[in-house]
Amino acid sequence: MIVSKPWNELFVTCRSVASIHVRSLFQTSALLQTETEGLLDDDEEFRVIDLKKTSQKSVKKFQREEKPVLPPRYTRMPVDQDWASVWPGPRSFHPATVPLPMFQGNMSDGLPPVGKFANAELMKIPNFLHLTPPAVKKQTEALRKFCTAWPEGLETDEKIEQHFPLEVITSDYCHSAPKIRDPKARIVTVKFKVKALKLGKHSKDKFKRLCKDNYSEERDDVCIVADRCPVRKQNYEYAMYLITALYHEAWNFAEWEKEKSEVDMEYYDWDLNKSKQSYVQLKCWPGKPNPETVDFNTPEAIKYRNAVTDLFNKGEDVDTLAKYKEAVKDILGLS
Amino acid sequence: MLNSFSNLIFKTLNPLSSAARSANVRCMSRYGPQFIDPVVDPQEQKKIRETGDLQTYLFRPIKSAPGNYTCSHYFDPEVAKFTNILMSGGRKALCRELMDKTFEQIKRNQIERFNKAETDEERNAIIFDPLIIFHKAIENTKPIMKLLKIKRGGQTYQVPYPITENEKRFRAIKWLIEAGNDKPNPIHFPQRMAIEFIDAANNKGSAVKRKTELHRQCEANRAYAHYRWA
Amino acid sequence: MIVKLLRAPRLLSKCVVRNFSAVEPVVNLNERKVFAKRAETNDPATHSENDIGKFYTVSIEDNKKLFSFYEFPAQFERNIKTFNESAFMIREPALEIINSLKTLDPTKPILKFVIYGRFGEGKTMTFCHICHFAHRAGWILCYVPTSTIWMRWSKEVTFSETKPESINIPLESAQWLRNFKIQNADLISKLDLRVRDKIVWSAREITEKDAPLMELVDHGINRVKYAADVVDVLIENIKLYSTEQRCRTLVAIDGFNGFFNPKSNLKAPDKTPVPPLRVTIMQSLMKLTQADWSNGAAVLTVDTKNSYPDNREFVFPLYLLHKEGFEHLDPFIPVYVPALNPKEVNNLLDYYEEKKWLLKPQAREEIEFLSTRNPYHLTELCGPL
Repeated sequence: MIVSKPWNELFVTCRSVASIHVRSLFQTSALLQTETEGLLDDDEEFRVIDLKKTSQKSVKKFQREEKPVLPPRYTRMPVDQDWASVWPGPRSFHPATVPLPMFQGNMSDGLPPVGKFANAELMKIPNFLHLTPPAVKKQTEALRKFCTAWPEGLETDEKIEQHFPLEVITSDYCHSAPKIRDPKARIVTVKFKVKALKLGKHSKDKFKRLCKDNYSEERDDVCIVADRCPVRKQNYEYAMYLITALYHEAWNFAEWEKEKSEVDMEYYDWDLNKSKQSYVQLKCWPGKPNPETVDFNTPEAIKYRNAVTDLFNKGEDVDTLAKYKEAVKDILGLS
Repeated sequence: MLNSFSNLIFKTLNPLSSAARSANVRCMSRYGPQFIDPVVDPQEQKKIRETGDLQTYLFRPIKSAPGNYTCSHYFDPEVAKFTNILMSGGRKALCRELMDKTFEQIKRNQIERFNKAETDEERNAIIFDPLIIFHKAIENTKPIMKLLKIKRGGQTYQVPYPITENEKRFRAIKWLIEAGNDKPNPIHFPQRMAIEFIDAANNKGSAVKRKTELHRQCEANRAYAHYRWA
Repeated sequence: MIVKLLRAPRLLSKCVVRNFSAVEPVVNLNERKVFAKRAETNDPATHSENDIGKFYTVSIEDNKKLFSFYEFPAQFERNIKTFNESAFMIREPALEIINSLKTLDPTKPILKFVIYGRFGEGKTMTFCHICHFAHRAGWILCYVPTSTIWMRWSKEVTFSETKPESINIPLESAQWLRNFKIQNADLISKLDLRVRDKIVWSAREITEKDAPLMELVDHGINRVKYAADVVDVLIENIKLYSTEQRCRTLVAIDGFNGFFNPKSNLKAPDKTPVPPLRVTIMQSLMKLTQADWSNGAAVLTVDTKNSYPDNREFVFPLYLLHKEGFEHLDPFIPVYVPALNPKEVNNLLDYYEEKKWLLKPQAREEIEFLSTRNPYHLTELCGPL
């Protein structure tokens, strides 16, 4: 009378919470059922009350098959294995495969660093475990049959620069799509160092100014990226034309260049600036300032000149200022 | 049947709510009654370690400290509360600055008073520590009771009610701030509040006046006190 | 649950942050008597290396004379009122400059010092210290607190009659003369300095040759119209007399890099913009910093607050002065004012405890840490404690 569909459904939905209550109710109802059955069937035997429910079969809980968890792979790795076969290509870090005791993580308060298992940091960073020296050696040995010998006379970077000053960089693309071409293939990058060109003092400065942002002071090289034409050959020819034009234009001296003033100077020249006049004035005091009477080759004069030049050319920082201070103290005669 | 069962489920799903209610914890708080407040002050922590009370803290879950609580020497929970109540538009940094400047101003005022004082008695009576003055001011401005409007038979009566500690503190702080804001404009807020604090600490000033006014009214209306229950 | 149990003790310890909240007993203020280290004398000329970090007091008369008109930095001014004394800390950069000034060669062109450093670390205080020394040593003081006040908030701007294309700020020039008078009147009348040449201001106003210099100054104060020109003449006379070794002059300009800003807030009467060097009083002060006179010194400060807003990244002199300013002053001695060293911090905090300003001695470590030993921030942080 009590066991009916609604109770079963309830059992399914509120399993975890109400299971105790529902189950007990279910069990009592089952008990009642067996009781009624016994009454109908067997009149002779005296039914013994079964409070502890020993005769009843316990409902076996659905047990999930527990798969055995094997120890990690690295515990079964021999020391002399072929690592290149274990990690053949770029792959994100897998702690069970890498046999190294690795730790990654910044811990404070004397806590030990975090190990490799479940370490997101180790997984995030790129690893080069596929490029161990034996693996690289293997690959190079395989490639060797396709390679010719490195040319003689090009052992060092300087020699390469000397013989091949111009670097032309192009990129090829291939698509497995209805269109196999890529417009980026037309881009031509041309790089060369300024010292490879024969330039004088004026022409070097003019060349650098003409190159504008294409010139890099740190590397002292010019990088021209040509992509305005649709075909690579055209872009290459354009880049070559640019270099030629820049070179020849740098050697040209136009009339208006004579108007270059102190403000346009790309470096600080002590001889052309007021600092020299101040020095002359200081040395000639109390007389009239006369540059011819002043000796600019004394150690203190040279020190002062270098200090001021460095302040402007190298930039002002703690060191250059300290040098300047020393130099000024020397020329003023202070201890 | 179903109804009672669903009630059962609800209660079992939320076993702590009734306990929470009985333990005087805020009923919307995600922390149950077993959570205890954190101890921020290093002095207090030292005491706990020394007296052996540490055991009661070790195996109990502790609530996380509020964001503006620090163990710095600039921190005082009541000052933090004052700053929060003073704040408007979420400009906590401004309020913190104002509080710092107010304390500085209190010190300057007291030092000036000290320099002008003629007798030793006067000099000894002057307190320099702005925090002590602050606490005193709040203590002196806290009302003991509040008045609530109760409507009985068409008429509204002002009935004196007891007041919780938190509400007392809130009232005191609110009155002090309002007293500070009342002053004329050219004087900056720190200067105004400094004067208010010093006055309140000496049981003078408009904030304390408001409190005594309230007490007087409570006293006057004590006949209606039974309306609390009637 | 288990995780939380493990976390509980850490929550307690989390609140004990680093070193400075290391638990110290609450100090009984009545028992603790702290006194700051002070120098033996209050005369800046007698201080030596041993006195670095110690305090010395500027007497009330000196204070009134030197700093009554153009005041100290606002924070220090407030503290003078509260503590009833103006106490300077003797620091290394100030001593370095003072030692050089003491051994000044009167026959050589003027020495130029440029004080630079970060905000709040003591440039202006060093500057005032040196001015005090110069005053006590009997030097004439040409004191300019900061030029940006003139460049921002000058009330009256007129065309100059004597200098074409230049602008006068007559009220501020007269104010400067007033300050000059307060600082130097006694000294100048003692040295009996007189005007070199006769100056004709107008049909009825003439300053005769050999008139006392203070008469010229008074004329500038009373007749505000001629104040800028009076400043010019005064400066020329001072330079001449210094070179003749009749007097010694200290040129003290705070925020000298303000002179070389590309613009100022001033507008000429015909609405044209006025860069600082177009103003006559600035031009006169520039003459003072040129190295064409001797027996004197120029102590200048360069400050980011005096520079144009887009030029405030670094504190170095060349950056703040630009090439123009650098070349004008070259060769000068750059003096860096660093943050306080631990000994100085200790003494400063002792001073605040002595004056009942710092009432929580247990917070000293925290204050030192939070302020990064910057004296301005240190003083600010001691305020609420």
